Amino acid sequence: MNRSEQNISDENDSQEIDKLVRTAILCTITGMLFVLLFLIVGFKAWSVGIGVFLGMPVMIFGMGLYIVAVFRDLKSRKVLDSDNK
Amino acid sequence: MKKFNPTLLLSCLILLIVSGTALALTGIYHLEDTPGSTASFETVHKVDTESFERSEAKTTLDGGTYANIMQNAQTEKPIASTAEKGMTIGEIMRWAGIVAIVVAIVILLLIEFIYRDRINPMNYRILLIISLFVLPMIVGLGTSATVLETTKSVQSCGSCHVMDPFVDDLFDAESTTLAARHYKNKWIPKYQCYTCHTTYGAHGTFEGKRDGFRHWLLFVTGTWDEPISYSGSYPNMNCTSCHAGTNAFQQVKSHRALSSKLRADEVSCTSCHGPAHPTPKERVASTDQQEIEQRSTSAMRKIGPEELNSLVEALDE
Amino acid sequence: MSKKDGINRNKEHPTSPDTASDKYDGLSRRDFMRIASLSAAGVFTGSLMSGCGELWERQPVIDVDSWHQGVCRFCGTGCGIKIGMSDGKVVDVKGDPAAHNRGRLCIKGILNREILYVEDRALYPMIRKNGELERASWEEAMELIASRFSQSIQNSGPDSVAFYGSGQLFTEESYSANKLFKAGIGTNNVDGNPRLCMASAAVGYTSVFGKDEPMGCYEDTDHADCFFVTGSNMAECHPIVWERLQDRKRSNPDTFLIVVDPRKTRTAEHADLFLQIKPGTDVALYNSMIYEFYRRGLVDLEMIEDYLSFQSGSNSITEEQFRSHLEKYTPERAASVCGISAEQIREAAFRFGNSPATMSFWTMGLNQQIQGTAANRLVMAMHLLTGQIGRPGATPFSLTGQPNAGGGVRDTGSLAHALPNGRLVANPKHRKEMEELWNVPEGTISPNPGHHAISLFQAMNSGDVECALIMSTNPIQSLPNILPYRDAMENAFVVVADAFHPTETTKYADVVLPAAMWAEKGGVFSQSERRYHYVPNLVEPKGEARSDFDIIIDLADRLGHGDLFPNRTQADIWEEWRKISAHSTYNFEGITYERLKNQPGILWPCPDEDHPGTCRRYVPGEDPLVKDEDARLDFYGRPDGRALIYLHEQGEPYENQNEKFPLLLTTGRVLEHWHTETITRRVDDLKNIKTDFLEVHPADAARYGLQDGDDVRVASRRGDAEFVTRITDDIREGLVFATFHSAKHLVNKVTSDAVDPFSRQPDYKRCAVSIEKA
Repeated sequence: MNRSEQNISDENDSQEIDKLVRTAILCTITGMLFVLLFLIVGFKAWSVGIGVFLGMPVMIFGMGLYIVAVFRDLKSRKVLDSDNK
Repeated sequence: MKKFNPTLLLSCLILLIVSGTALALTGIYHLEDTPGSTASFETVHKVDTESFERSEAKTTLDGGTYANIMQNAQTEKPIASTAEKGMTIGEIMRWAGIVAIVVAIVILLLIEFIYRDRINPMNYRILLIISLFVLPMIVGLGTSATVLETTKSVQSCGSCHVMDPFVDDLFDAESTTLAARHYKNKWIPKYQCYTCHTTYGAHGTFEGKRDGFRHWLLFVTGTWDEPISYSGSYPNMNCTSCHAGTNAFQQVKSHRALSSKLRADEVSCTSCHGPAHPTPKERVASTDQQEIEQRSTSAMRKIGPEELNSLVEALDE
Repeated sequence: MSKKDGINRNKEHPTSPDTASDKYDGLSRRDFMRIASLSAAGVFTGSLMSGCGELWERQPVIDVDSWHQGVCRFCGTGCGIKIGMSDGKVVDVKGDPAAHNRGRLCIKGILNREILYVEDRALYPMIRKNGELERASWEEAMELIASRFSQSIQNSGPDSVAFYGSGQLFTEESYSANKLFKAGIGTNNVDGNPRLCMASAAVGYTSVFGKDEPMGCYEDTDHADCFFVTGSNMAECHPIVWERLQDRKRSNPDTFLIVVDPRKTRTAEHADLFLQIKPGTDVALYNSMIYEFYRRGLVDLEMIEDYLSFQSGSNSITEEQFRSHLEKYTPERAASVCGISAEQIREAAFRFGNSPATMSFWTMGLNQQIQGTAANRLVMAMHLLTGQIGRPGATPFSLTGQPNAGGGVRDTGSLAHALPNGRLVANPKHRKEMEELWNVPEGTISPNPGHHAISLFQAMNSGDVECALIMSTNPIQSLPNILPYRDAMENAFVVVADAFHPTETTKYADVVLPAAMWAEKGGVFSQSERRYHYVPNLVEPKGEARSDFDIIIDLADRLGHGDLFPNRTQADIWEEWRKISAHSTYNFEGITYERLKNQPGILWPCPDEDHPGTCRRYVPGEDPLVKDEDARLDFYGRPDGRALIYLHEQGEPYENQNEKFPLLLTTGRVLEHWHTETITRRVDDLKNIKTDFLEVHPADAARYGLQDGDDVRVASRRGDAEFVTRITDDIREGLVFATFHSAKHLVNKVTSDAVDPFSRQPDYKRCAVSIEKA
């Protein structure tokens, strides 16, 4: 790849990563709002359902997306590289 | 490298630390336990603390010492299991979780949608790590701790209406089920449901949480089997861990004869000593009784005061 | 660029095992991570994967395919059980939460799951040839039996054959045997082991109320304020009723428990007042308590005025005569007879008469006495005179010993003097009624009462009875003064049907028939509180075993009385029997098989199929047979509606202690074993429960030089037996105690066969003995 193509692909990459991070943020915020509901309302059948069984997985999923984004970002900066030298 | 702008980051960190400290101080010195939830629990489940004056006959545990000690404090009413002084760990974790969520959401909204273009990437990334990883971790731990703590209480088991007959039985001064006797004689001081309905070791805690999830799922989907019954064989270790060390237990010939079956849970301690909870027939009887009482009280409420007076006058005639 | 932030990006990937700097304690990082995660997963998975179903829900330790409602094989508490089947075998037994026992079962009840599969089941018929029992076919055995019985009947008359049954047979079985012998063969030689167990109670109830069986129910336990437990070690012999009594104490700690027993049993340990009387002094004690009732003004005048009459022997007497008789039983005088203090008698009488509701429990301690009937009558009198009767929690409750002595033998009249539903052989009207109900020609039923248990075996010994059929009992261990009755077995032609061989009885039999047991045959059991309940047939009988019912029908056919049983099945017999009961006050016509299979039993009277059953008899509003709805009580079993209060004097012991036999022997049981141990001794879990002991007071032990564990010989005028000494504080000085469970330590060689004059029940609870080191 020549330099300009590299730059473009880098930019595309970073846009992808930004989108991923934004998705992660929205996901995590949603999850945390559900959990907040549970923490405020207390232990009831429906609050446990929404707050813990729904909210926690969503929040963790959001965290997971963020971690994936970080990994991809580091890879694109060639910090984390498995085989290529 | 762009210049490191610590302003936003610093202010967020300071906010965190200050609010956390404030919270801790408030909790330690001012907040009492949530009396509201205990009060409503007691009204729903008709705790008649007057009738808790009774103490059990002397030889129930063949002179069990805990009961004897408790019986000397006959004027004490039993305390609801969550009435501790100050904040419990569960409460602290709950507040930590709430604060962490609020702070995280605020930061995320700020840095992603409002200040996105104005903060430098380094700050952005650090704040991302904090609010998208560190704080959610705290939330996760806090919530888990809250759940693990609160699900031990009798209140949490009693929060689903299917458990009403069981919880009401605990407070029934005349009930002779094992649960009621252990509760009213304070042989188990707190977390009474949890103490018997978990097994030992990490396996037990896992099993307890798995059962809790299964119960929740069956409850919200309305697919549980009536009458409610214990799945599998009850682990006798829950009984023997307190009782087996006593002379009274070891001298019983039947215990020695059945020892291998008892250890393998092929025979339950409740076979001779049960039932642990009201039997299905007895639960129906008590719910019927409650329904009659509820219906009559709600019917009473619908009558206006004038009508009520005229009814009373009619009775007097 | 690679050195920008200090990270050496040229470093090799740490997966290479050669990278020395990445090793942890000799393991490479990769290997360490692998092992750590595997072990964590392993622990986690292992604890999860105890069965795949464990992932979602705990699985029961014992795998059960289907659960069935049933009844325990053992005592007269009659607990409802759930029988768990898998692959045609009984694998699990649990208490039935819907039954009166609320899911509780004692150790014997739990071990119902083992009893069908222990060793020594009788598998095939055997005939004694040349002194030895040899295997034979059913055809051969039944032909032999039929021919010998027919021969005897032809040559020596119907009274030369006899049936000795059991309170452990199903009702359909006892009823059919009774019908065959009394209406078919024409002899009243039908008796059974309830004669040794409940006869005094049966005669007691019948003579006082006109009809047999307790008038209260277990539910009364939940309402009593005072319990009077006399002659009953409930904690060991009726453990689940005892738990219910304990429940009452737990929910109402003011409940007062009085226990009367010569031994400080596990029951007595819980007593608020314990009267440790000398054996055989009950009549004095109760007379004294009645004296106290009068003195304290605790008698119920309305009862005396409207519902009671007084009787002495067969003569009516007045209340004044009764009261003047009581003057001989002041607490001081009674105390010296009974061996307790006068204060205790006064206290007991106060508690009994004064409490809002008093309930009595008794079993063998009262029944197995030379004055058993008298003692029974007096306890009932105590309740009647104080008005402690016919209210929730106030009732005289006789506990039945066996699982079907009531419904099977007492109610069906399978006793030598009786006919079904409380009728008597000696009464011509009753005989005529039964002949009509059974559809047999008038005069078929013999007017002569037959041999009761003891006289039956005496008749077998003397040759008056030549052939006998014994079913589901072990008389050569359970009869008192056993040695002469072994000879009886040799002299007569005896057929024994039992599920086990060898037993003390089958050892002497001429023909042994293998019988099916418990869930291998279906039928109706009853228990102490007049509850009829159903045992289902779930399992194939072992070997060639057949149900006792089949054996009786087969014998009936071969003796030419098959026409008595046009209804060949048990279901049809039950139909016949319940319809017959409608012609009496033992009416249970409303108890059909359908109803029995759908619920854990029904209490009779139950006149129609919508009736829920009766908890309290003779009480208007509860008992459907009551005629006078406005009265307080209706003793409709008595012609004048008045229950009888009997005058009884404390008798002299039939056998005195003297220098040769200075001590007294009393007998009893332990919780873990049943009767003569033919079933329970063979269960693995119970093998270590000893029944070879003799309880001796420390003073007596010292006097006779006995230490704990020594072999001791107990001898009476009749015989001797050896036991292992057990020194205990629970017994009076001068009294020794042994159980009747063990065949090797056969206490019945020593006991006496003196019988109560009214009920003909033997006195197992008191005989004069000597002990010495063996």
